[in-house]
Amino acid sequence: MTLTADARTSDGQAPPLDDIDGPSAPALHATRLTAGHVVLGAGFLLAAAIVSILVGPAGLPVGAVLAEVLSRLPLVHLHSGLSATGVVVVWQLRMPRMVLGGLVGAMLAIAGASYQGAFSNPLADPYLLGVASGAGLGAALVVVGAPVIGQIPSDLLPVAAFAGAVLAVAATFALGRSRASERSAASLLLAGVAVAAFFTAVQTFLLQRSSPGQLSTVYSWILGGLSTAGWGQVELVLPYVGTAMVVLLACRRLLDVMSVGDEEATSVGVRAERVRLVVIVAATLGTAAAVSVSGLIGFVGIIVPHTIRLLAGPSYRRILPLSVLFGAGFLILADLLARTILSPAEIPLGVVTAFLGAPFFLVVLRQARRLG
Amino acid sequence: MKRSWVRRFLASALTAAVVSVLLSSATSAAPAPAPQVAAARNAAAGSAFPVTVHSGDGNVTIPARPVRILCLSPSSTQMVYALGAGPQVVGVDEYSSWPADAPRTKFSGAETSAEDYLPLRPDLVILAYPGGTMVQQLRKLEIPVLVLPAATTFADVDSQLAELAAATGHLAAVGAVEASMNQDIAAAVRKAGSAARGESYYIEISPDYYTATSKTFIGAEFSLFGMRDIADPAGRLSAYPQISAEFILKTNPDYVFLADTVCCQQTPTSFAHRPGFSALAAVRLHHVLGVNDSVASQWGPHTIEAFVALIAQTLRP
Amino acid sequence: MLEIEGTSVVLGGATVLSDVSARVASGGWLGLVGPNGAGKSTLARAVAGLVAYEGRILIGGREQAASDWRNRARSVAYVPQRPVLPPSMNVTDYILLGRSAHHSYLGAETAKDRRVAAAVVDRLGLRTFCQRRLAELSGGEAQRVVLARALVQEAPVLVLDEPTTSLDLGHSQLVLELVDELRDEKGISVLCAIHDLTLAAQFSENLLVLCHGRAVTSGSPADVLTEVNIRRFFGAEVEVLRSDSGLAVTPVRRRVPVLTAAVANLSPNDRHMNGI
Repeated sequence: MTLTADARTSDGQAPPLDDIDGPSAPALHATRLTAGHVVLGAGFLLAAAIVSILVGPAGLPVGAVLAEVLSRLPLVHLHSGLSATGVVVVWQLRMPRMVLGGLVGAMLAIAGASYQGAFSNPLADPYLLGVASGAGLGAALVVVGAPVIGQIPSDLLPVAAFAGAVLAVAATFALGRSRASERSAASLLLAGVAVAAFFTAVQTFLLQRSSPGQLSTVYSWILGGLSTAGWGQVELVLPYVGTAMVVLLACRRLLDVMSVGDEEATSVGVRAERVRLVVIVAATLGTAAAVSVSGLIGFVGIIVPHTIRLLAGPSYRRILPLSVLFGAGFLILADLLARTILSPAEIPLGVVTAFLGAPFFLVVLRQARRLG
Repeated sequence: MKRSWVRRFLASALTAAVVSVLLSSATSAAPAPAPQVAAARNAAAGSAFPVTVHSGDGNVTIPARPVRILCLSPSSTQMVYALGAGPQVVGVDEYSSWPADAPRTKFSGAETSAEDYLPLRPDLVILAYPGGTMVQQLRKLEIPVLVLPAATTFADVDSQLAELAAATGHLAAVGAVEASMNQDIAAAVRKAGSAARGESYYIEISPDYYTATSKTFIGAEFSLFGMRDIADPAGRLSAYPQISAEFILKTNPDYVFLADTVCCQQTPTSFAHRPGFSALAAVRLHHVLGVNDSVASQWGPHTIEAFVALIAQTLRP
Repeated sequence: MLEIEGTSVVLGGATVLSDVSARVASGGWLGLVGPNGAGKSTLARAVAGLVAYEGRILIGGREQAASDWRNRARSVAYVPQRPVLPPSMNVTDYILLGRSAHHSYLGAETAKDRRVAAAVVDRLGLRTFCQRRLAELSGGEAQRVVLARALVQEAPVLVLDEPTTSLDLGHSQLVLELVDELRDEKGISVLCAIHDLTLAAQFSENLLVLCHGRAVTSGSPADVLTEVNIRRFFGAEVEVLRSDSGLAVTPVRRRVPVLTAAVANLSPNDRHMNGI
């Protein structure tokens, strides 16, 4: 490649910068979310959702279930032939469970991806900044404190878990803020580790002095699951999760800019600290809401974004929207596994995602080694 | 979404305990009646003590009649008092609710340091699930310790009664206690009569559908009546599996017993309000009953007698 | 037009820059030279708005610190000494990052942005590796890509922090020639911190010498780069050659060992005693 030949046009004159139009200057192609990716993601989600609705211990005939679902569409008149119980199973049990699983999976995946972009760290997700330990402490406080408080409404646990998660992240943020922009990401992560350790220590202390029944209640909440999913819970989380996802999707291009580091991002006009703050707040609120109804389901925020990164490239303009679609489908499928492997017994959902997550890391490691 | 004290860790502990009891009873030299034989020998020799009793993973020798018993298991407390050894008890655990006038302490039975018990100067300690190295520590302090984990069958209850009777010096009372228990059971089964035959039940341990199969003690109590547990197909890996609402709707149990009334404030009304449950036969026929959580975790004579009477009353009011 | 007036920077309690003033006209090129630790990078970053400063820095008459970030990005383009290059990012995407201040904050780049970028890409001869990943580029190619990202910002001031450090002589010349042409065409004010005194002399209109955070001298390369000045400020022995193409600063090895100066001060009697 010659040194100067490319720098000038043939007549030795340099053309002005932005005055090139038409066929002489082929257009540049920036990375965008392609229709193909979206179709693939939507197809995956749809397939997972459909299979999830069709399978269950009630043993309802597949055709009848499909007819029942389709009959709700406008202008479609179908008689499904399902008994009243079957209708209830489909609309009051399987549907909300599938929808809740999708919402939680999408939220965890996009929150993980956003944190990875905001912190330029491949292992970042909201659990890292204290959501997990804060929610666990909130749950432990409610369960252990119940005999002391007396009669408490049974839906105090989700509220306490949510409050605990938010408080933990607020503490992380208060402790980890740093003046020097190049240290702010690292110091936040360190503060998150410290806060998580502290909250977990308090939780362990509480549980160690509790009765065996309380211990197992909190433990099983930590394992995560969707067994009591109903439309009430969907309504509960939808505003938080929906808002969070909208905000995070809006930030997708900004996250691409963040990958060149705080200083250079600032020099091209993007305030890295502000973007990080917005991402933390949105992702935390959404994750806290999801965790409050589903317990601590781990690995989704790491598995899904990394898989998309391997297949579709590093741009967050693809990773964030695809995380929503594939995250939802992934958790719906994991829940399907959780309730069919030992049917009619159920396995806690967090155990299934952990089983899937561990070998996943090995696959990623091998991939990374091979690519050098 | 609240979860109750399911004692899920007890499920695996139960399995381990059952296995160890089976193994030790298979490997110990003497068969079950040995304690009574040894005690009878001592009695014939003019004294019930010292007596060697089977305990947990081995045998324990109690040198003299204990008068400062520390009983840290609710079911064992019931047995000790039923045998008439109440005056010998100086302390029971905080969860022992019967009898009401038993000297309750702040101990849970899961303590890990034997020093905690020393101020009471016990001469016999009864535990269900000792913590850490408690048993070894008590042995070093030369305090006899009896380990009696959860029973899963009525035979287990009988053998625990015999061991406690020998250990406390009330061998003569065993027969009466067992007879009384059998009478109550027989009366209850008679009362229920044909109403129980073939009826299915669901026993709820926590609102997220953790339940007990018929391989548990509470399952054994239901089996006395010939009732069928809907959760049995889910019990391949654990005797306390988690099932789903959908499965309950499908199997449509005839009777529902809620053992999460204390921990998780569940009632027949709250049960009926769960999505889709209003269509359940048990709900429509008002066959949903709330019981105290402790019935799912205790196996003492008082619990047994009360619970079988309750079942009979539910089946044929 | 870039004006730096009485600018000081304090970092971690230490005064890194003290009362520095300079001025670069539109289309001008000010080279920043000085020994290590003189504060060249700090001044460059202060102009780019990346470090807090006291004093005034005016671009086109507007005080930098008073602008919001997007306006700052549109007035100063900064090429760092060690740019962060995300290895799996696409060259095109990386260059388009420079247009962030021109399209809407949350939005994507527009057709105009892509046209500007295409023009810069062609100008810098980067067309053949538009779709490559940054990890696949050599040092010289990567430096041109970073320069492209700065140029698409279309800012009237271009700040370069040691742009030739990791480049061989050929690529160094290429990059500096490109910048030279563009500042001619577009009237960009260039502030360039540079180690190599010859290149600094050949490309800069004016030089500013920094020493321990102070501006010790400034002026045209011919005035500033004298052997006396270089010995004084850099502690280096050089010979300054003047030719038609400009100045060349060549390091020189005098055959007299370092001890000579000390020996020259001894009396004849002492010299004899030491066998000299």
